[in-house]
Amino acid sequence: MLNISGCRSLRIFGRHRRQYTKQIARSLNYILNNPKCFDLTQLCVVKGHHCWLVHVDISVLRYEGNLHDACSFAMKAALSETKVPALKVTHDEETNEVSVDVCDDPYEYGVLDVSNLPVLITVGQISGVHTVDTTIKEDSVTLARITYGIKPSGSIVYMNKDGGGSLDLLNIRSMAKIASDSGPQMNELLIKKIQLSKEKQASWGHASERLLFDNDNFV
Amino acid sequence: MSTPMDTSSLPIKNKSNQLTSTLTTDYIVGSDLISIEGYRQDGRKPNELRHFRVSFNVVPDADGSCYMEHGNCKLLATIYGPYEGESRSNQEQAIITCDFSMTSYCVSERRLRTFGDMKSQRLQMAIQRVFQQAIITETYPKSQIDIYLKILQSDGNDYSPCVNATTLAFINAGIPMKDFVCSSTVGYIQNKCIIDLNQQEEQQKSPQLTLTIMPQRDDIVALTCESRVHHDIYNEMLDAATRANLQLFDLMKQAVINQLKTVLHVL
Repeated sequence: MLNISGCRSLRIFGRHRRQYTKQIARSLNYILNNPKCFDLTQLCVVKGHHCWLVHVDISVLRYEGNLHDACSFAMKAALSETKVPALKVTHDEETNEVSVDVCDDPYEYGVLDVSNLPVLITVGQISGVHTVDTTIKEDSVTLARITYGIKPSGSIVYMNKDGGGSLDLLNIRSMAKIASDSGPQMNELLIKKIQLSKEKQASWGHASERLLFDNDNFV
Repeated sequence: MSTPMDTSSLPIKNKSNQLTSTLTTDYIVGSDLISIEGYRQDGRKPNELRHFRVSFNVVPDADGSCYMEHGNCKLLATIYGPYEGESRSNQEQAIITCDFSMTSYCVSERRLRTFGDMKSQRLQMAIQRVFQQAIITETYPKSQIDIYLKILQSDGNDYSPCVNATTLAFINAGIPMKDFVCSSTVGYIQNKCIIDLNQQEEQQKSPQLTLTIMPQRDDIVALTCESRVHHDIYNEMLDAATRANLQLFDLMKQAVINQLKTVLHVL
């Protein structure tokens, strides 16, 4: 679910804004529910009885273009840091009941495996030139753009064309090549930054005393 | 024969009911909040504010912005304006609009309806009215100023931190105001006035008061008290709230001065 209320640099309002956020949410949904990208069986607690439900809520604080890609990076980074609480499952033999209890210890948790999760890369076309990672001004003049979902191995799992402009086959092929080249690069960069950020955090005790937007918090 | 016995037994029953019910609820509710040593649940003294931290210029493309952490309450206030209003706008004064939204994760249970509900609309109108008074709107005729508030983490009362953050965002935007606008809440538990309530203290059924003042001018902008209070206690709470707001004003002024110092050193 995507929340863009309060972002004035995005020059669409009202119903169109809701449609725009639904479009991004739909593409992220597709990526998450695809068994080849995200292993849904790791969310299973007891087969046939209980499973984990994951809600992803993204709040956009500031819009500077290329919202699709930024949301997918944020989602992947957040999911890789998600702490799944440890559970105690008891199976009653007589009544055949399964009861699940959450452990009280906040330091006992498991992590989700998001190594295969694809990342969205949007390639746009501005008068014959293909652009990746557009800023807000470039976004407003792009007539046609394709959003690709690319796995760390470079294979394309999702494709969606947006915008009123038309593209011919040659353009689409070259855009796909650009996307599948930059996809693994972005994935590696993201994983490296997540690693650096984890090292910066204290492994015990309270979270850092710094304010949210402090430069020291960023990696 | 039987009736005199009935009437004599009834008052005794009523008395015992009154005694047991009020005493037990009072102790269950009150003893959790202020310990014997005089500290509240989160370790504060009764006249101590929550930890207050501010960061300015968080959203550079807005005219003014302020990120505020008041205890566990984290919120972002951005100001856009003054810009050209619509043709039907007020010819002599600026119009101020307010847009308030929360995130889905700001309270412990995931919240789906993040904007447009009753509480948000009431808060929007309240903040709009407060700042219509506080800003010198005659300097910007035919124009409009937008306030955008976003709560990233909520700890009970949202109104007071919103007012404080908006004041600081207006100062960051450079829009002339008559004075700072400070707001804080005050409660009355176990014969003591406690200031700056957090969510746990607010959920008790004790009297509460929200006071919004302009500290240097000594003007009350808004005052809300939705509980039944004896007028002696009311005066005490009002005094405590004024002192709390003056403390808050000192903190806010210090934050603005620090921001000015860092900016001027860079220049």
